[in-house]
Formats: sequence, C-alpha cells, structure tokens
Amino acid sequence: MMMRRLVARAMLSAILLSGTALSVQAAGTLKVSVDSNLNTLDPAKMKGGQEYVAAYLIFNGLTVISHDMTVKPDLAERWERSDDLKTWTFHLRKGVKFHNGRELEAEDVVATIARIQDKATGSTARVNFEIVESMKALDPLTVQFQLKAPYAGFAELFGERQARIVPRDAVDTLASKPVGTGPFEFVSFAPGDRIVLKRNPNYFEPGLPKLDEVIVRILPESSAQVAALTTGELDLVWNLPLEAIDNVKADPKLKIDSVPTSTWDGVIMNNTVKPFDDPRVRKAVAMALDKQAITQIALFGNGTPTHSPIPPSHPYYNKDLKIAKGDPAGAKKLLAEAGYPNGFEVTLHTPAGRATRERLGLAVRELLKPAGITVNVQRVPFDVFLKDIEGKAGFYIDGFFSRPTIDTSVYPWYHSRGSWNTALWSYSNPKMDTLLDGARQAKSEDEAKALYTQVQALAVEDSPGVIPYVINHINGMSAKVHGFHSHPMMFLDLRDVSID
Amino acid sequence: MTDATPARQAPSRGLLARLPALPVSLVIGVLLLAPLAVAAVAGSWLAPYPYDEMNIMSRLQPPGADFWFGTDEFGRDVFSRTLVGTGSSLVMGVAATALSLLAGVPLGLVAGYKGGRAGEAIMRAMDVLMSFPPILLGILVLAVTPPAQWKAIVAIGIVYVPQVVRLTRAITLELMQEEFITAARLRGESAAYILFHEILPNIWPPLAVEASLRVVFAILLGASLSFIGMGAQPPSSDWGLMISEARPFVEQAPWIALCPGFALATAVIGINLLGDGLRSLLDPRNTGAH
Amino acid sequence: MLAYTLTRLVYLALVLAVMSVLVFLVTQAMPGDVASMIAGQFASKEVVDAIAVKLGLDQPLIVQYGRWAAGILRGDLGRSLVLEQPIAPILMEALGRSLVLAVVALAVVAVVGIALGVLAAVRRGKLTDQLVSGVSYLGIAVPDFFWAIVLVLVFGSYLKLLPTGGYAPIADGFLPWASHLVLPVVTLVLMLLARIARLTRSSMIDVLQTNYVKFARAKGMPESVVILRHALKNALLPTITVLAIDFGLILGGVVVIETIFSYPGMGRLLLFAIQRHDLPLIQATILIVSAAYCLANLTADLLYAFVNPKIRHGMRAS
Repeated sequence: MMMRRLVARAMLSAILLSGTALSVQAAGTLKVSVDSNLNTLDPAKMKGGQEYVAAYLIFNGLTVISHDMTVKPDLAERWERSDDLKTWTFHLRKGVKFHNGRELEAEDVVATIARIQDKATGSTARVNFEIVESMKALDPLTVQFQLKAPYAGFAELFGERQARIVPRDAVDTLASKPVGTGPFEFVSFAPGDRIVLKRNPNYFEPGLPKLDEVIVRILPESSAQVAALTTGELDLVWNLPLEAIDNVKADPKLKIDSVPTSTWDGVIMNNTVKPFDDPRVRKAVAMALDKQAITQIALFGNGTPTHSPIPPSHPYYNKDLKIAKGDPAGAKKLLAEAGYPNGFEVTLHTPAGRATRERLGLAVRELLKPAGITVNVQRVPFDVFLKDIEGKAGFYIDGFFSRPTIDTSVYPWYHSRGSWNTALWSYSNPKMDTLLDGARQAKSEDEAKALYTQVQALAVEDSPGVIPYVINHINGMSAKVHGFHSHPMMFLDLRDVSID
Repeated sequence: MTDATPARQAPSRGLLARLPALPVSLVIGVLLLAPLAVAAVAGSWLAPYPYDEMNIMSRLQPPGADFWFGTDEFGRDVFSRTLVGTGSSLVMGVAATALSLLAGVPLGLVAGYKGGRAGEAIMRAMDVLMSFPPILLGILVLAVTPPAQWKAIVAIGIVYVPQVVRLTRAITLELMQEEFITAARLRGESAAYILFHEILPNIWPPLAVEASLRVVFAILLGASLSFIGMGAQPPSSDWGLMISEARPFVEQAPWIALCPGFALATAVIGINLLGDGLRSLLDPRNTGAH
Repeated sequence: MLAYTLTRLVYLALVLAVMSVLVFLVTQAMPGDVASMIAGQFASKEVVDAIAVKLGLDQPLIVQYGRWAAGILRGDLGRSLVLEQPIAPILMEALGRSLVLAVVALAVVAVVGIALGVLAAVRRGKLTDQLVSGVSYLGIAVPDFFWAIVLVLVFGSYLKLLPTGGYAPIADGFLPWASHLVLPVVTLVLMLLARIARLTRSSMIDVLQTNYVKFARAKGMPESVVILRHALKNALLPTITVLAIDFGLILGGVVVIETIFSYPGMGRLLLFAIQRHDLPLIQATILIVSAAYCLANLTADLLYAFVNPKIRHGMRAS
C-alpha cells in the first residue's frame, strides 16, 4: 500500500509540475552549466569544483584570492598581524548582511572556523586551521586568532574554498538551503538538474552583481553542454570539456576564455611500495614519460608541462630545468641497474569519470611500454579510489586543484610531514624539508625564489611521482556574455558579468 | 561464437537431416555471424594495428586509406579496436547465458522434479530475483565490488537465472506426465538416472531456442553495463565501452561510435535470425512473434 | 478475480519485504564507505569514526535495518547522507520526471506500435508488412544507448532542432519542457516498438482468420469497420498486457537513457547515489523502482487473467 501511495504521490507531483507555469525569466538571467551533480551546498563540506562554483556565488570569505592570485580583502576590510606572526586580527566590513537579513558579526566567523575544526563536520579544510590555538570575537566587527606557530600565509587560508563565512544560526540547513553574504541568493536546488540563484540586492559591493538571476544547470554530457551552448539554451559552460574547444572556437556566436592554473594531475608512485621504493625505478618512470606528448594526449594541448605544482606562468618556476622528453632507452638502463633488466608489470589505478586523469593513465601505459614496464590500467569508482587506492596503492593517477599560494601548493606534498605527502607518496628527503621550511621564513622574494628553484630541481631529481602538466581552465560562452574572466582557481566569478 | 553454447550442439543431428529445408533466417543469421565468429577468434591477429596502440599525431582522423574507420581520441585505429572487441562483447553475452543455464537448469530440474518445499523455495527465490528490473539487478550486483568484466558476466548470469529456472521447471513438469518417465519410475530407476538420462536430453531443444534469445539480451545488457562503466574496463575495446567513450566526440568524430554500433547491430540481428531459424526448425508450428 | 487479486497483492508485499532485506544487505557489502566518502581525501581514522557515529553507521546491522524498514512503512525513506536532505521529496520528484518519460513513451509505443501492427497484418506478406518488420527489427537490433547517440548526432549536432540533454521545468513554458522530452522518449519508443508491432500483427492475423470476422465480412460490413471495430478489439488484449510489462522495462531502461540525456530522473539519481556511496539513497531508489516494476508486472498479470478466462477459472479451481 505504501508503495502505491508513493507512486501515486509521484504521479501527482508530475501532474502538478506540469500544471504550475507562467513565470517568465528575468532579462538579466545567465544560464551556466557544470558537469557533475553537487553533493552539498554547505561550503565546509565541499570537495568538488562544481560545488566551489556555488560557494563562490553564494558566500564570501574573510579574504579572497583575486584573479592575479594575490590575497585581497573580502568580508574583512583589513587585518593586522603581530610581529611574531602568531596573532592575527581581522576587521570586518560594516553593515554586511546575510541573505536572511541578519548582519554579519565576528561570532559568525568564530562559529564558521570552529565548525571546520570539528572532526564530525569532515571538512577537508580542517588541516588548514589546525594551526589555530584559539580565537575570539573582540567586538561584533573584530575577530582575533592566536596561532600555535608563526605563519605568514594565514590570511590566504581564508580565501580557501571551504572557509566561506556562514551564519551561525543556520548551519544545519546549509546543505540544502545555503545562506551567505555573496552576490547571489539561493532560490532552489533540484539535485541532478539545476540550482537557481537570484541577485542579492543588499550585496556589499555597490552596483554589483549586474545579473538578476543565475541558473546553474547540471549537464554531465559534454556533447549536450556544447549543443546547448550553440542553441542558446546555455550562456556559459564552466570548465569547458577540452575535447569541445574546437567546436566552440569554430562558432562565431561563441567565444572562449582561458587562464593557466596550477591545477595538476600526477602519476603517483608510493615511495614505500616495491618497486617504487627504489629511487632509480621512479627516475626511470619519469625519464620514460614524454611530458609534451602527455599534455597533448590528456589535455589536447590545453596545459603546460611542468616540474612540480609550481606552474611555468609563475615567477618562481625553474626555467633552467629541462622538461622530460621521453627516453625509454635511458629508462631501461636505469631499470636494469635497479635490478629489473626485463622491466616489470604493475597495476595503475585511475579514478573513473575524471577524463583528463583517465587519459593520463592510458598515456602512461603506452609510454612505459617501450621502457619494458607493462602497465595494467584499472579504473576505480571514485569512492573506492578515495578509500582504498589513494595513499595505499603503489601506482595511481591523482590530481589536485590550484592552491592559493606557492607554499600551500608545494609544502603539503613534498615536506616529509606535509599533510598530503604521508597519505600520497610518502616521500622524505631532509634536504627538501630544509628547503621548504626555509622558504616559509624567507625574508624576500628573491630568497624565496632561489629556494623554490632548488625545490623543483630536487623534485625532479628524486621524482617521488611525476607531475606532467598544469591544466588550463577554460570557459566557453556566448558572445552576448560580457565582463567574464576565467579565474586561475577555477572560481566562477559572475559579479561583473552582464548579458545582452 | 555460438559454438560455445549448447544452442548449436544439441540440435545438430536434426540440422543435418533437414539440411535442404533450412529456414532462410537461419542461413542469413549464420552468414551474418560467421565473420563475427572469425573476428572473435582471430581479431587481434587480423587487425591492421594493435587495438591499444596510440598514435597521437593522427588522433580523431576520419575514415581513410590508413585507418579504414578512422581513429579515436588517442589515435587508436577504430577498425582494429572494433575487430578485437568482438571477442569481449560476444563472450560477455555467451558466457553469461552459459552461466545462467549452468545455475538455472539444475535448479529448474529440482523444482520441477522434486517439487515440495525445495521446489517452492527455489521458485519463490526466483520471484524475488525477478522483481528487480534486469539492469537494476545487474547494477546492484556490480555495485558491491569494483567493476570488472567477469563480474559483469556473473551479474548478467544471475539476472537471467530465473527465466531459465522457470522454463526448465515448466518443461520438466510437462515431461513428468509423459509415459516414458512413468515407465522409468515404475522400473525403479533412481531420481538421478531419470533426471540425467530421461529428462535432460529432452529439455535441450526448447532450452537451446531460449538460450539463443537470451544471448541477445545478455549481449545488450552487457553492452549497457559496460556503457555505464560497470562492465569491461579501459583500455578494453568492448563495444559498449567504445560507444560510451565515444560520446564526448560524437560530433567531431561520429565514426568512433558508429563502427562498434554497427558491429553490435550485426551481431544482434544475426543471433535473432539464428534463433528464429532454430525455432522454426525445432518447432515448425511456432513461427509467429515472440 | 478479487480473491486472485488479493492473493497476488499479499504475495507482492512478501516479495517486497524479502527484497528489502536483500537490498539492505547487498548495499552494506559495498566497498568504500560513506563515512570516508564524506570525510574526503586523507581524513584520519578518528574523523571517519566520528562521522560514522554521527550517522549511526556503527550500530549492528539488524538495528540499522529495523530502523530503516520501520521508517519505510511509515512512509519515511530516510535522509540522504550526502545531500543531507530527506530522501522522499527528492526521490518523488525524480520518480515523477521518470514517470513522465515512461508514460509518454508508453503512449507513443501503444499508438504507433498498434497502428504499425494492424497495417502489417492487413497487408500481410506485402511490401508494407516487410517494411514494418524490417524497421521494427532495427529498433531491437541496436542497444538503446546507441540509438540515443545517433539521435543526439542527427537532431542535436547536425540539425540543431532539439536539445540533447537536460530538463526544463514546465514553468519555463510548455515548448521547452516538451522539447527536452522528445529525444529520450523517441529512444525508449524505438526500443519497445518492435515487440508491440510484431505482437499486434500476429494476434491480428489470428483474429482475422476467426469465423467471427469472416461472419462480419460475410454480412457485408465495410472492411475498415471489420478491422477497427471487430478484429482490433479482440486482437488488442494480449498487446495491452505486454504494454504493462514494457512499462516496467522502461523503468529499468531509464538508467541508461537518463545518463545519455542528462535527464534528472530516477536512473541518474541511482547512479549518483552509487557513485557517492549514499546508502540510504541507493536503498530507497532501488526499492521504489523495483516496487514500481513489480506493480507494473502485477498489473500485466491481472490484465491477462482478466482477459483470459482460462487462468481465471484455473485460479478459482485451485
């Protein structure tokens, strides 16, 4: 009987859906697509690029990572740090209102960070704030943090994706009814279909946003995205699938905007698992992989070969190092030295549904063949990948989004106590640790640059894994869309955007 | 490739005897399937290129002299991949069908011959299995473990067990009314003897027809599972997987999807015709729709 | 007939109960687990455990099942762990959208399939007949997802006539809503058309040979009246029961169709739930779809029993 009632209700809702009608879209409506469903609209719990799209539209941080990758004021209009870099005081902008009409207070900041620190929340940003010893609201517009250790990059942490400031009295319903301070207010979320947002009339930046409404449609099929863009059903495709770029370029009614990022994919070799515990084996793998070819195969050329997560577009990039050209003969020789004259056979795990990483995996398989390494590619569902492969398997493909600073881009992976290192490839070299620790305390840009130059050389020499490229972030849009600039952090910044 | 199933073996004596009167559909079916059988056995040997060889300079090439059916996004030869994929795609259906027969026939025999509680229990269990939509049952089975092709075969096998059990049971029940079974019982033959020597040989013809139809469904279901990522895994050139991977490129390079699609269509039409032919051969009265 | 219906309904309830246990157990055996999925990359064990406790995942299976089953009987399908929302509204909305696809597809299949079948039967052995069976053969020869891709290619990419993916709420207007339905519906129709057309054809041929029709003809009735009023009415009964079965098939088939057309229905909801390892959502989705499938099959059986007195009397006798 129960089932019948449910079915009846579903029928009814289908009928009702077809009955209600008549709302006409506002003139300034931007229809944008993302390529996968969102798990949550609660920023603390977000993990995927599609979710960050929503986070950026609905919420603000204390600070923001701007288009030039520098940190700028956002909800905090200014901040001070003590000389020992352990006490940080943030002054909030006055009169900022949450979408529910309540004014933003320092207590909201404290509650937001406390929530991220709570293990039960399960926020990936928790490790970032482990450095916080204590925090308190000095007055409604001032919040102060005491750190356990000096940290010059603390303000940048508030530009991170999960550290969006949320109202302390509405945290339980954020996943489905997010309330923020951002340029757009949440209207509705139909999982698998769309998110509807409307203009926040009280947004604190005067005159912004320009759009009345944003509809984020969830369209996983790349052919459907491009088709919808050409027919005008969509105005903007966020993170345009690489294989679709030529089609969009060929259409005079469409345009493309792209920006280099430091988002990377990597060939991960677990340094504690045979045969990758031998640096010569890892070096051999790195030698055999032609990075230019891989960039072509995996990204259709829409990226740049690199040595480490430091992108070639960055001033710290080590230009003297050569990009590996692919030397299977040399790799074979190294393998023989390491005791594998006939190569070996190994399973390479790739997370299913990540197109660039799947292509990277297949490219690795082909490029290692002439070096005598037989690679069996095993595609794994993403949840299994997180649980059983990442940090556990010997050989797999992984990838990471841009981080706000060079320190946060490199340290966690290469320092022997880095938060990602121990769970990824378990690489440890005291010399690398010294370099990275030194860079954190560098007094000048030149000093930092010199240290990071050495970091890259060492990363290539030791090859804990191979980072073949950094990816370009590309958006496709209708020529009617104005004022859009792709963000190197892959945020969807629509504040200045307007549409004809 | 149907050689692997009982579909061809059981009625072969009858086939020879009626050779002059072979149904047209059977002949066409065999003609369609013959090249596929060759491809399944010798595909990787006949293919002009290794199925997994990448040639990045010639990715997404349209069909031409070098690549008869073009290349995919890695510059792999679509024709070679389709050819090599024949084995994977057809074996999936055939092996799954064999599996469902292997599990279903004994269960059906027991349910039909012994009846009673055991029979009742078997049939009720089958009812539960049948109350899942087929693809959902496949997904449910496959979601339990990381995907692999052999697991998809097992899943499809399980999906079709109930149909085999039901059919076997029905035929067994019918046979039990026959005089020669009664005679065997009166002779005091053991249950095992009756099952294996009297009943089993007589249930093969209808089962063979059933199996030939089942193979089609199994191939299509296998392709569907590969398509949603739960069957064959890359870099395999299983047809369902090939079509799935071709989706993002469908506009620029439709040949990547079309070539395995046509191969799949040929296989399905061929087996359907073969099944129709078999049926009219084994049961000339029944030539209508199924 | 009433007794038969009641027996079948009681039996259906039992099957569903057993099925719910099966679904629950199988989903428990899944690899990966939802706590670590929520905790994300590299969460420490204590974080994962904290989340597991919060979600009640640390309790014995039987307790978890009991709570779940009791909830369903109350009409509470539980909360999605990933979406952090009650499942029922999400599921019902998705089911509603899938049902729209299914119902429209079924209606088209019925009308077109029966028309083709009658045409083929009347022109039996002629070119029309062969054309119909040829075309309907094509429909089943190729898997639905292949047709879907061909349709996307032709109507979306080349002709740019129809949207190739997504869904438009009816609030956006009837045309946008309907246009998003066309390609998925056509794909489903192609999948099912052959069977209905062939079945109608053969039962129509049977009926046309009965004395009843011969008598009507002999009375001098116009051929169109004979076919439409007398023959068709009798030939349709088996077709209708098959349509009910097809309805169940569509519910299964939408998993693939919805994926290709990015259509936010049950099928994609299920795949989403599996990918994110959202156990309550997986369980609820499979259970509801299977229940709908069973209901469709039951309807088919009842219809068949209703039109086929042999079974009815058999039931009464037993």
